[in-house]
Amino acid sequence: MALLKLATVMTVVLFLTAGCGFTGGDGDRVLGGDGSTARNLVQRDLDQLARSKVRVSTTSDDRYQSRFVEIFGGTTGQDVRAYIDQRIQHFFGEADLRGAYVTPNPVNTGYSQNLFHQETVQAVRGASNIGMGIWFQGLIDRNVITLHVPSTGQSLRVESPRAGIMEVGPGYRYSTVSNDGLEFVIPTEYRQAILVHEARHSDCTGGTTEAALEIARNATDIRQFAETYPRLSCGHMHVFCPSWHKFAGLAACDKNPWGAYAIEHVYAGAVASADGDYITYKMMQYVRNDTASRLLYVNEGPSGSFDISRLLDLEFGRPNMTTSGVVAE
Amino acid sequence: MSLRLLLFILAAVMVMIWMVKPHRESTTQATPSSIEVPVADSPPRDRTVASVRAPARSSPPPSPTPLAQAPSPPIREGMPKLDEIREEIARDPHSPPLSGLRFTIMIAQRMQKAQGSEEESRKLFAEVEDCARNEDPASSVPSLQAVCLQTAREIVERYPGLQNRFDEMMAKAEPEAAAIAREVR
Repeated sequence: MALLKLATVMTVVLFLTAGCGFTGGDGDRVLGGDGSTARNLVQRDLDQLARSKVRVSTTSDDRYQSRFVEIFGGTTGQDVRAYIDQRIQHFFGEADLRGAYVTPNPVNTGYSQNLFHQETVQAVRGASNIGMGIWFQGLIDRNVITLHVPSTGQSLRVESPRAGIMEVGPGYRYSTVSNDGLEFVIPTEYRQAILVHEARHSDCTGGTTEAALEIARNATDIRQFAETYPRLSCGHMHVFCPSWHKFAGLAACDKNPWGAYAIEHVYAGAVASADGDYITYKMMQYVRNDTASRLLYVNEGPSGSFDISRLLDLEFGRPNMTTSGVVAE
Repeated sequence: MSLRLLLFILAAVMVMIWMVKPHRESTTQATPSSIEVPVADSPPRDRTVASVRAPARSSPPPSPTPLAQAPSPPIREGMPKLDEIREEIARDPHSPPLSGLRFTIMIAQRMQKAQGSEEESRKLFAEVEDCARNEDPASSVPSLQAVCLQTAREIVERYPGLQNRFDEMMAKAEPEAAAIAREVR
């Protein structure tokens, strides 16, 4: 097989969570074009940030406000927009990626082999950062992979963790039907939290090393990779939740501080009571509950403690928002 | 005589317009212009939009009419089971599960409906008390039970007489749910 279907590579991001140095295409943000509703919705959400419709609530917990500033560099939606712009430049709807492929064909390692098996799983994803996944596969392969998207006529050479290519799936939605059968328009903050999460995956914080990549190359499967790969903060990859966790066996937990769930948690906590909108507040409260429950470094399980304050009070240090690539040991 | 009648009608119409105007503004707020941007698998457009811009947390006003007329399913019945949540996470590990979001919307709407009525608030308290009860740990979802506990705490802030029951709720809840509720305010 000369070309690897993108669906295979996209599954990488089910496991990875990863930053801006895109070197291909025309450098424009890929929005609009074919009128994809998903991309239009992303554009709307980004515009709302740019207009600072969202900002840190002065009534939220001081710690959330402080961490928000450290992460986004300010208190306004424009700051959040800049954070996202730095990390994601290309948004593709599901339809855009039909027929997409990568070259050269990725090396079939234990890591990627496992991903082949997941090809049949047609995920209804809200969003995923496929740029990071493709870049990391390129590191494993000692190669630079190019993503070809025939529907938009683009070829994106992925040379950086911040290539910033994101798939926006049908789960990224405008509304949902509540349990009593009424359509409810989802507040934009909820979707922006997803963008904030995905953007964090574009940060290769602390970099990776050749030795670490060798471990990745030798991993027999994705689980072994997750258990042995020592540089999970590069791409802020999720790990499989442990046996005691309600999400046991799912790659839906974070082992290292200030990963994508933590950044999303802070975002939700800081804007939660913005505009005094009660339903938005409750939704973001749920987002905080959900993301907090996935932080293994503050959630020690049934016999341990659960203390999100440890993160907010900087027991694990301040969030490092930088990115890198392959570094020396 | 007919001129006075005409003036009376005109004045009445103006008063009616004046009375209706704030409601119209509110409706506009509740239905953003972006309503023209449904996603591919959105429900049919002709469904009732229950609410978009909800009231302030501190004093939620009465719910909009369509919501007030809608039947309220018991909260416990609307609570997604762990299997459902796990299935959603397996498909999309990067987003909070939508079924959990829907459940949260239901509770938030009930809070709005109960606003200002001690009787309704107490009924709601009993329901969130029920959903926070850790009867089936194998199928419970701590982040959702925590929403019930957090909602109960909001009710207690208005009706402190329920404090003891809330303390009892926290003590009997799944430890992780109670811990999340304590930590996330």
